[in-house]
Amino acid sequence: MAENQQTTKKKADLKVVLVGSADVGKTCFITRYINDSFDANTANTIGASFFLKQWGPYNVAIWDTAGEERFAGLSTFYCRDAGAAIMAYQISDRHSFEELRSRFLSLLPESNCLKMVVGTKLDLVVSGEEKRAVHPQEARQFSVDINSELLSQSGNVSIPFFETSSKTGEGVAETFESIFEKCLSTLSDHYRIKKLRDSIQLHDEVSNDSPIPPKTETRPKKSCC
Amino acid sequence: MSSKAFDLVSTLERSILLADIRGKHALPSANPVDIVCFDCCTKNLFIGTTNGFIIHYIIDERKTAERVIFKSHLQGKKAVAKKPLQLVKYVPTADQVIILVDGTICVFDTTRFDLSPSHERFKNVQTFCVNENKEGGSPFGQQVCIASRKRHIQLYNITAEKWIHIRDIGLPELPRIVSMDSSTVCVALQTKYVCVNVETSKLTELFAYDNEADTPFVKRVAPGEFFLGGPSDLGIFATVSGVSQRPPIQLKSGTFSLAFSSPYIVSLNSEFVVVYNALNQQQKQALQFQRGVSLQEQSDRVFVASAQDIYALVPVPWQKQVDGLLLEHKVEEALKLAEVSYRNSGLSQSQFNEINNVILQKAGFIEFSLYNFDEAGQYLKTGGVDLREVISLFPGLLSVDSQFTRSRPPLHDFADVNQITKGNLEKSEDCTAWLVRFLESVRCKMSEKKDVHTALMKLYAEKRPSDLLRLLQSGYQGHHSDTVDTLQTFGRFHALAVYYQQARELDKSFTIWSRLVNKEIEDESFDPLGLSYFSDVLCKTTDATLLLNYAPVVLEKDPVIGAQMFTKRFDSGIQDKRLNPESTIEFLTRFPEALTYYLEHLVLSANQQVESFHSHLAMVYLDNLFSAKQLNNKVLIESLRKKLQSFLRQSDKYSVSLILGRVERDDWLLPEAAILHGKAGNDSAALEILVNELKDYKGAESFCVNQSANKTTTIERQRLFETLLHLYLSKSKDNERMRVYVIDLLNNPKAVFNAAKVAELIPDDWSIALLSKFMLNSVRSSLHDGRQARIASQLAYWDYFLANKDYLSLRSTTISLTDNKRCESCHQLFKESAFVRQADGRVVHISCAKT
Ligand SMILES: Nc1nc2c(ncn2[C@@H]2O[C@H](COP(=O)(O)OP(=O)(O)OP(=O)(O)O)[C@@H](O)[C@H]2O)c(=O)[nH]1
Ligand SMILES: [Mg+2]
Repeated sequence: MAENQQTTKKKADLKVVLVGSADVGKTCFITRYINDSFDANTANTIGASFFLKQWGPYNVAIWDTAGEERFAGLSTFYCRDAGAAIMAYQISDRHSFEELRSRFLSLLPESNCLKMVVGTKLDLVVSGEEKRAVHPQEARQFSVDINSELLSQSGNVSIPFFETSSKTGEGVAETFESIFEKCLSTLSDHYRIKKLRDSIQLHDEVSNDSPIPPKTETRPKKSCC
Repeated sequence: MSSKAFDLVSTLERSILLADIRGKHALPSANPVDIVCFDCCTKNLFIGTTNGFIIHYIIDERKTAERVIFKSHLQGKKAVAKKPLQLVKYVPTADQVIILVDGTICVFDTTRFDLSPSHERFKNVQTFCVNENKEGGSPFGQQVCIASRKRHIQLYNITAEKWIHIRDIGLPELPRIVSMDSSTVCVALQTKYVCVNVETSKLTELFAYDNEADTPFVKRVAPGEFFLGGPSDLGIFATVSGVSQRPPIQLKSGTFSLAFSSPYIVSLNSEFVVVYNALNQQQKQALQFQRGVSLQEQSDRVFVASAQDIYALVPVPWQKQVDGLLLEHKVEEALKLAEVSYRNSGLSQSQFNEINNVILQKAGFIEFSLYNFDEAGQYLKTGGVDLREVISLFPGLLSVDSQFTRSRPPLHDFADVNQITKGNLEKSEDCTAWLVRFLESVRCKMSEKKDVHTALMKLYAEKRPSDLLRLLQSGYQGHHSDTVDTLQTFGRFHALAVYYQQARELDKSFTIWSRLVNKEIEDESFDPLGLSYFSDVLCKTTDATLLLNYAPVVLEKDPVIGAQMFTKRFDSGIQDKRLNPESTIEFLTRFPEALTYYLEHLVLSANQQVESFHSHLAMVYLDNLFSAKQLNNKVLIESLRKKLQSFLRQSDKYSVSLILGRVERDDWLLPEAAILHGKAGNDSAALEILVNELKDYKGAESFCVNQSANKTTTIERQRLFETLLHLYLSKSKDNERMRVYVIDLLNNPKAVFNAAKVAELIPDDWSIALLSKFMLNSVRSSLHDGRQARIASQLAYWDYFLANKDYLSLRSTTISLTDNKRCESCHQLFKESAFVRQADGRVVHISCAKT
């Protein structure tokens, strides 16, 4: 379990979950992103662990779930309300890729959830230590299939798929950035519109029945002389 | 393991319990009587036993300085069933204890201390719970949720009088455990956990568990949040909306009862009471505890019952816990703990901030003792430590005059830094270096300034003299005696002088600088500054007495630098009677070189047109010349003489008679005498000296040329040259060679002669050939002059003629002013007959002509 001081007392703006078979390297993936380090001897995750990440003005809650079968029941619970999921498989392990479809896809919310397909331990197949078992084209196609909702909505979104290595760091930060950009920049549009509306309302209300001028951003600044 | 959060304190001893159950004289029974369940609320403790008794105690709590002591007072006991009681729940608002025994709920009336006959019994009950968060519920009633042995839960509102059935809610499986928070009941079903909203009957699934391998439990921990027994002994946090907001906690296997005392989760299994921190999910403390039955929280206490007796988990005073955490470097955790503790104790934000700061400071000192300087600095800084606390760790840095005493209670246990370094020199150097950095980086408060400055001064004096001056010159407020002693001890004399200077004790500081200049004392930081620095300081002083007292030090070392002190003052225009030029000159008389420099500055650079300065300068030049002569230094004499002569020639301000009086005493100063005679307008005396005494004919000629430039009329000029000619001629009687000079003089184009007079003067025996050139030139120039005069006269006449013509033509023209004639300036009509005709012929109003 991660030693982590943070709690999600204040509601996070985005919840990201990591799912995938045991030992594909989910915990290492997060550790690389959060601490920029790699530990070859991580223990299997028990239940789930949790990280809070600040991205610009946003709080992102990242949940690392356990891949072992015995925690299967919990995973659905921890995946609930996720705005994005990292579906991790090991590039050199065919079975882990197939489990994404058979086991993990059903855990995730059907809509409004970006499903980022991530191949892990790229370094192993690059160095030739292990043989590639999943072709990137196949994984990309899988991503296209499961993200049809998102991809049809906005035409110019890149396909949510990365091949990564937590050992070298390749693709790790890019994965998260891509997620945050996809999920939070749309959010920020909403925010902007909502804020604007709020500020206008406030303006009207206050100026009607209060002698104190409203302090909103829409008020032009007086220049001093 | 982290420092402990709780102490286990006996609340109800076995012997007392047994005595109370059986009565004083009862024989030990064959079948043992054990506790199976209990509940506590305020001071009330209700116990359910294996033999169907309910026992009521009042628990008194006494706090001593060191610990908490509990005393139990039996209030009553009653056998309510033949079987063990499964669950008792005291509802103070209804004066009832709800008892579950053998699948049946019965209501026990605490006022009558017996089962309430008026209430119905509920059969086929699996378990029940009361609403732990009554928000929104009736203020009088208490909601109770009964989980039946069928697939539903039942909701009741209970008061002292009656139980009102609200509704039943169906479930997909049999309920096993229930817990209620506001309008949500969290239920452990046979295979999974669900949240049921009792208002909407909406069911939210949480997660599944293995009903064979896992022990389910449901514990409300916060408004809207439950803690549930998950797979593999994980404790899972879940909110009523069906998500988790905190990572799970790995519990000990077989955990079956829980309590929450913010921020701790206390768990019970068959062997241990284990405490976890809900904030970081880490185990905090584990206590051996055999035959545990259940946990109950009650304000900030957690009670734990074994089959035999009851204990309280009394929170270790949070300060103690904090100290423990700090010792383990868990600063964040310590701060969190303090925050939680204080939020619960309802103290104000400012009080909390104070506590927080003390913790940070303590943490800072601990980190410091481990040489984690960065952390130490950060904690101490954010904790707003009194800098003197830090300084006082370093022996000798705090002044004996300091008002400071260390904080009580102490922030750390160290007498001083040596106790930390244990004599390791390298380490203690590190500590000192850190202290310097730290003190430099923190803004000190008014109250600390004196001591912080003193400490920095001492540190700099010993290790970094280069920084001393900056400190001393920027509002330094250190203790006086410490400063003087330290700077003297380390030989920082220049700094000491600067210190005195800042303290307006100029006399002291000047004394030090004088001694430094005279090399009586040494300070390498002064060497590059040296004399010019001291002279600058002196120059700027406003106290003339001081300047005059210390100026000789500089003047003796370097007259020019010395004199510059005075010239700069003069230039800057500082008005001071004691240092006006006159008194300065008098003062500098002892330092001739400086005096010369000063006078030269006044006269030559500052262009002071004061007779006495000029005379004085001339005299000084003369004096210098005399002393050079005494030394017989030819080169010097030559240069001084040049200087003197050029001054005598250029200046018009000195008193000629005064200088002349001095010069005439010495024959070798005849050239100067000649200049002076010339100055006095006594041309013939000057020329006599030049011609007769010095035989300097060239000089004589150029004298005449120069002097003639000052004359206004030709007659005067002619007279001057005639004087020289006379002298020459009188000498030429016995000196043939003089004729050459005479001719040269006559032929000098700059000379002015009246040819007729010259012809008279020249002796008759001189050949005409000798004079031909002069004669020719004279005739030519006479002719030239005559013609020139005629031209001038003709031109003047022409001028007159032209003017006359203009006059006549103007007189002959007329200007007619008609009604429709307009002023050529304002373009208005003329209203009266008066007008002005301007030089260019324009006719305008009188008023327009004025503007
Ligand atoms: N060579 C290499 N090994 C990796 C990489 N990422 C993870 N590993 C190794 O894979 C093993 C499993 O990594 P974890 O991150 O613990 O796997 P996990 O997916 O979190 O596993 P569970 O928590 O059981 O679900 C560890 O021994 C890691 O050292 C990688 O990028 N390259
Ligand atoms: Mg893991």
